[in-house]
Amino acid sequence: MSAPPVPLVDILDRVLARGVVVEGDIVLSIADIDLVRISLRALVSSVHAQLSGMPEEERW
Amino acid sequence: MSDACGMWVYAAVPPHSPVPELTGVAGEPLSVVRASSLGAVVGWVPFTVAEGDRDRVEGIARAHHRVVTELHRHTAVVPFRLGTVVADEAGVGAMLEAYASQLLDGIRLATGRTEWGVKVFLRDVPAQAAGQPAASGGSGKAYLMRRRAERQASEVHRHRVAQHADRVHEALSRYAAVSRRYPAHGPQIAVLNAAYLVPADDSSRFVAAVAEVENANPALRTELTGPWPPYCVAVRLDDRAGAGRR
Repeated sequence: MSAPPVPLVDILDRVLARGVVVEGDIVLSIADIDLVRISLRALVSSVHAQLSGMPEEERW
Repeated sequence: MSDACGMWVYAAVPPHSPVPELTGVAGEPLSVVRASSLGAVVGWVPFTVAEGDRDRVEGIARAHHRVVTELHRHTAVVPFRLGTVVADEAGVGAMLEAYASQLLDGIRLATGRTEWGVKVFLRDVPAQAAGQPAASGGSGKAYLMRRRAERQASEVHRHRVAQHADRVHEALSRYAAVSRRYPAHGPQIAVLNAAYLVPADDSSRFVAAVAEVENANPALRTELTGPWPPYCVAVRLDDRAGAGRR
């Protein structure tokens, strides 16, 4: 038996706004991680636009 | 090498958890870095993994979620937020050591528990059901007064429903080791968007309790999702002021 696909909105709600957040020097935060985060932020903006009620602080 | 790489961190797990036989967000094989009685499930990814369009990020999000979900089937798991990348294996080990106590607390919470998502919506209520009998006809003034009364009744109704949502959250929280409310979103008016970390053994009781919400209050519609990995076990780790500080 196969489960129906999990809605993207529910996945993004979890992987982008919950879970362990690491800040500071351990993560590649100065230059390199910013490349990843900036890229991802640009990528998710269109999806986030649909999550109309999500407050700014939850948007990275 | 032109491509910079880093270790994408999927989750913290107990140290001897099996490595999932899955590929990660860049199609890479996964491995477990161990330190301080903890494991971190990681994959070595090029930074270009994050370049692309909406389909690409959906693929990344689903791949991250797939790994976390597979881990959750076999072990206690504390998911990391999407896009956590550490320089190398030594850095991952240092992170586990620096935050061992918080991560171990998370593992303890996650052990034997699963997350359920509950959204509660206000059903569309016909105007007359909100307190006013549907009077027909009448003058323009009567019409305006009727509309105002409907609006006021509707406000009172919404307020009551918000209180109901508080009570629903309180009732469902009794089953949960962790319960969190999140901002509601979407085109509908959600009065509650919450996650509950419930012992796996209590899942059927919890699901029944959610079903009971609608029975007890026909004005509410509930949406239950799950079981999910315990994303609601969220920890904020900040090393900028030194290890150990929250």
